[in-house]
Amino acid sequence: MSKPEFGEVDTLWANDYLQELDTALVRRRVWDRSIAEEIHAHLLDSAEGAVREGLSATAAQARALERMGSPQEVAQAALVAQRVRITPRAFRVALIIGIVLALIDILPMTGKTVFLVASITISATVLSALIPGKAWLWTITIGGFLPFANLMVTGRYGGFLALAMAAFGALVGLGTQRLLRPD
Amino acid sequence: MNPERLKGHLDMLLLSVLATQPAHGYAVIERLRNGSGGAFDLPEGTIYPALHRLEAAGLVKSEWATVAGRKRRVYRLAERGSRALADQRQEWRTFAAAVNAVAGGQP
Repeated sequence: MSKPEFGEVDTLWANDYLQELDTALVRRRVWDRSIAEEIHAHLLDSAEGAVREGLSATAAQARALERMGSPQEVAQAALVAQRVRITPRAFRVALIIGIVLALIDILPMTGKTVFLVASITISATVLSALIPGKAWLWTITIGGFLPFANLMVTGRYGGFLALAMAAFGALVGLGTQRLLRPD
Repeated sequence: MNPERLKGHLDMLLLSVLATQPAHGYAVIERLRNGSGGAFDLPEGTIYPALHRLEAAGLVKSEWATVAGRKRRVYRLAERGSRALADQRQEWRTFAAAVNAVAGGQP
């Protein structure tokens, strides 16, 4: 490929930034990576705008990259936005899990204890790892219905162990999230 | 201006920019920067997650389009976004008037 003329903006200079952004998005487990495509066009627009203002191609590229913010900063903002987006859906899922497990608990079935313990712990772990800022919410919604349903039906308080299991799962999720977080 | 100060008002600013006409991300940034006389100069890449969040909340809509030979995602205000913007503007006027009344007077 020929070297661009002075004032002309080619597109290869943006590749390092985009590669780094992609890595940062993957490490943060940001699912929607269409942002990279938008940022690619944005960098080119920005550099072209700077060239029109009279900057050299090199200076224009440097300014476009500087104004964009670091790839890590952009990826972190994308992760925060993703968590905000999925929280209402995750809350509905947690509610459903909590209610279904409470119903299963009061059904006259045998051999369900292991299933209930595993379901409560694993679902609280997964949701807390995905959205760590709401670990308390996953504890209450997943483990909160079962004790009250159990208390109303059997008059026993043993069901409150479900809250402890959910809290344990949430803590495991938080720990997992901390171990895996990129920075 | 410290970008941190913008955070609580970014949604309203983005909706306001899109209320004038649909735009892709770069145009949104340009309008923010020019409209504020350069005061709103936040890391440009952080605008996109905010726009995606607004879209997920149903306040803006987007579609991919090829503009000047380049593929871009063009955002426009949704009807729900117009109502949210009206509410946020009203809230801002009340807040700004209160701050001015307390802190904006002569010493």
